[in-house]
Amino acid sequence: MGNIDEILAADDVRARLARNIDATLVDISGSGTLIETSCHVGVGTTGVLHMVVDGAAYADDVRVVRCEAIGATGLRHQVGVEFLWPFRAVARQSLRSIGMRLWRGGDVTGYMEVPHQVAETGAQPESPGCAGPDNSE
Amino acid sequence: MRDRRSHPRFVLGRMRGCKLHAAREVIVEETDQAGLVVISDLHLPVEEGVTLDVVGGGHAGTVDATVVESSAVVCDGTIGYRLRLQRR
Repeated sequence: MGNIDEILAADDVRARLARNIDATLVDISGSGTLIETSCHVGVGTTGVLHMVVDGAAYADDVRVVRCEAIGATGLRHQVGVEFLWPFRAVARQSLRSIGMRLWRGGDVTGYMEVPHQVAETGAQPESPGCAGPDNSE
Repeated sequence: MRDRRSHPRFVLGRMRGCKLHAAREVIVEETDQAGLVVISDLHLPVEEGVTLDVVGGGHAGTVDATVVESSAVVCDGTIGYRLRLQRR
């Protein structure tokens, strides 16, 4: 780690601007997730998606593949992200592994608590357990 | 979109509290003691807290900063944003 001013003065300086964006997880698959944010996130943006459930942290490297304003005000955005690397999926803390296990019809208990909220898109939660795939668009 | 997805999607309810640590490459235009100016292809709102990861001269470092000014500029024929950052 060098002095910041020396680094910034270097001829070959490269920089990456990072920010934390609050998000709500809408759905998940083995290849990516859909989240909602309060700001636009540019397509091609890379980063790490973090989530904490019952004190356990989950994360995955992701890339934004689409971002669309939703609602009349346009203040909310739906952001589609794809998982970048498969390596994290072997870890218990991987978001991707959750999607993959759901896809295979596996029990996600122990990986992540999937309580009563599990439900079809747009429907009110009715029963616990996995509601199955949602391929509608 | 039906039939185009490689993996089916599952709904886990509305799980709030997620954070996306998002990063974009930027060009450092000016630096001084108070802050620095970068050119980004994305607009960022004033007062947004950001982290600037920099590498240069064989070293790497991080600067915590706040966006204090954002204005549109034309860079190489495309619209970009000139962000003035104040170090925290």
